[in-house]
Amino acid sequence: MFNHDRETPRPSANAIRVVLADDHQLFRQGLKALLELERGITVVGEASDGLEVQRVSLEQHANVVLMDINMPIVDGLSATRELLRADGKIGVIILSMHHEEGHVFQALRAGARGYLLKTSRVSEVAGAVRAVASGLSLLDPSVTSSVVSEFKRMSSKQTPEDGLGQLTETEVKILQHVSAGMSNKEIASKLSLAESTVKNRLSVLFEKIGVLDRTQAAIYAITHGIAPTAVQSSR
Amino acid sequence: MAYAPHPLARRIHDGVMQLLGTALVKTEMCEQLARLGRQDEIPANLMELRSALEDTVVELRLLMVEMRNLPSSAEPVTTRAA
Repeated sequence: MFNHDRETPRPSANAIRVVLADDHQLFRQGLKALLELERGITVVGEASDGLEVQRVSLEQHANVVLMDINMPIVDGLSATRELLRADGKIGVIILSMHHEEGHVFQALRAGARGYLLKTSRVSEVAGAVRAVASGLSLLDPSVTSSVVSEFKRMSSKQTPEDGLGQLTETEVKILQHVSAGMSNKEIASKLSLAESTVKNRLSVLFEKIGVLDRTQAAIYAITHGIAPTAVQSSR
Repeated sequence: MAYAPHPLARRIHDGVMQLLGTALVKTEMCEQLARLGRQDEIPANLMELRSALEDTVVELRLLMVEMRNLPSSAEPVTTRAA
């Protein structure tokens, strides 16, 4: 139990708006109380299943969603996919007890920009929320090794002339922005290009690195170490 | 690759692991409340922590009973076949 009347910080207007999705109420309550002690973060909604989280996140204009994988009705991975289809700007961080690489890769494929274990301290969760809200990606140190192994496996299959080696400097920048969850319009504005140019360059880029869509491109960027990834250094 | 986890693995994840996750959050809550000088709120959180740990013990006992009836995978194949 936490006495909310005595909470120290008051949410500011530009605080990061967070939604918590987990079917374990006690865990959710505890995490909410702890996160609200963090500066610049406000929990604007809670959900106990994968359908509710989509509705609450859109209604509350969430910046970041902390999403469990195992949830009733719709699981967290499907909910992530659907939510990002509705609003690609929302940053989803998977917060799970699963540390198996299969879950990590599925989460990244679904579009999640962070993956943390529930054993993380709240300061680490808050750090991830801030990183993802500012367009970065973040992985728990204990799952990073799986991603690095996958990167090595993929790299060993490629010659320097494959994929990445063929990208121009601008294409690398576009790929980095895609992996940060930016839209074509945002990328165009950032790189002072026309939106149609970004669209055309993306088609060429996808072909060069052998991917079909933005999600696969983002995974490619992460596994090839060119995404603007912030990895926690300590626990 | 899609796979169906063993029912016991699922129960450990959905039961024990989630309860321990809650317990971890509660310990951190007590730590923060102490740091903020809000000692009067700590006992209620400790009660919830204890409750989560008690539930974990109950869940583990149930799992142990079920696992006693499972064949040991460490047993040599020849012994199992005999």
